Amino acid sequence: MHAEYTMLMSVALDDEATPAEQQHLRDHLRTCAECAGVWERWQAVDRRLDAAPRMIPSAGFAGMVMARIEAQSLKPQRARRLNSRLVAVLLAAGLLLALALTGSLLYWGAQNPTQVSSAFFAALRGVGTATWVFLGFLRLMGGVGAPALAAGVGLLATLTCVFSILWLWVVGRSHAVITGQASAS
Amino acid sequence: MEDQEFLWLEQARRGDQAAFARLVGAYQGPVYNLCYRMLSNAPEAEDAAQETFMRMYTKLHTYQPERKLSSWLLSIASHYCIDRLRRRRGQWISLDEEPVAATLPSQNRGPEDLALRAESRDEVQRLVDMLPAAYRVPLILRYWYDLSYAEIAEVLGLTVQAVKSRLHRARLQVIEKTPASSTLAMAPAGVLGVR
Repeated sequence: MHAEYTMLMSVALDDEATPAEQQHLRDHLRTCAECAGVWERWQAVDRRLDAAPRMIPSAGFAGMVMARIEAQSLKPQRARRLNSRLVAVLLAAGLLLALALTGSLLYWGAQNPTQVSSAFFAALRGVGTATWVFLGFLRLMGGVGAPALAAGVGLLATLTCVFSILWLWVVGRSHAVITGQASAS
Repeated sequence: MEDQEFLWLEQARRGDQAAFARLVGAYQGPVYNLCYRMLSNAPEAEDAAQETFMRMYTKLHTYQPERKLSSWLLSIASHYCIDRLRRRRGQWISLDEEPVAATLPSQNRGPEDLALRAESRDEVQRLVDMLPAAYRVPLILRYWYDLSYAEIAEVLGLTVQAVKSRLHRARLQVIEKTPASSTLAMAPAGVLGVR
């Protein structure tokens, strides 16, 4: 059998062959007895598949679907449209909050350099606890909507930025405090 | 889509369950048949078809009117059945399960004819069952729904070339698994013409 012709046979059975392809296949089948035999088998199987009946569901099928919808209190979901103005306002508010927090922390750190490290680790513990509470809440609610997720991610991103800046500042400040103490002693 | 169906769809989107029930009535046959041909088990097919309509109900807002409603529904059903076949893989099959115990349209035929049809039906279904899910779906959509390559591609989210190739491979596997002596492979005389 010529393997390259089976694709043509398949396309011909699907009525998707061009007239040129049909002619090409016809010409080949006239000269190749083996491929003609294969084509015969393909056509026979095609005919059986074509004649196979369509199955139908049991009576009362639609009623059963509606009963399941009712039992599970399913409702058609509404299309969610992202309000771009709201997103811009939320982003700007987040940025302002991040700047205000960073400024306040830097100012407080400059006034109380010795308490920075303990405050930093206390804040870290606070974030850890808040994360666990947030995750527990999600599990309890069984999911989370897009606005809540965006707010959560925004808050985490802001906190990450704040603590990164604070960390750099703490490292620099600690170095200055240590070298200052060393030179004083 | 027919105007009537479009109206039902709009009403169902607004929460009208009676309108949705009419849509289920209109499409239950094609959806159930696809599920049955994919899963080869009547109770499982019925459950899958019901699940398809439930998914349709909750996702009504995602339907785009430029798409054929039947294509959208068959797409949901195909993907759900493929997932179900994946989950089924590796599970034990109960000896009590009757893979071909499906409901056929009632027709007034003699017992011999019915027996012959049942035998042929079983043989066809056995062939379909032997195919991997990726080849099974295009074959079912081609033979039981008479969809073109472009339509099958739309339902399955594939390219036309991929559909063409999968149908070709499906046929190669079907032929490979059909003994020449099988009634399936016996051609009536004089059928050699290319369409």
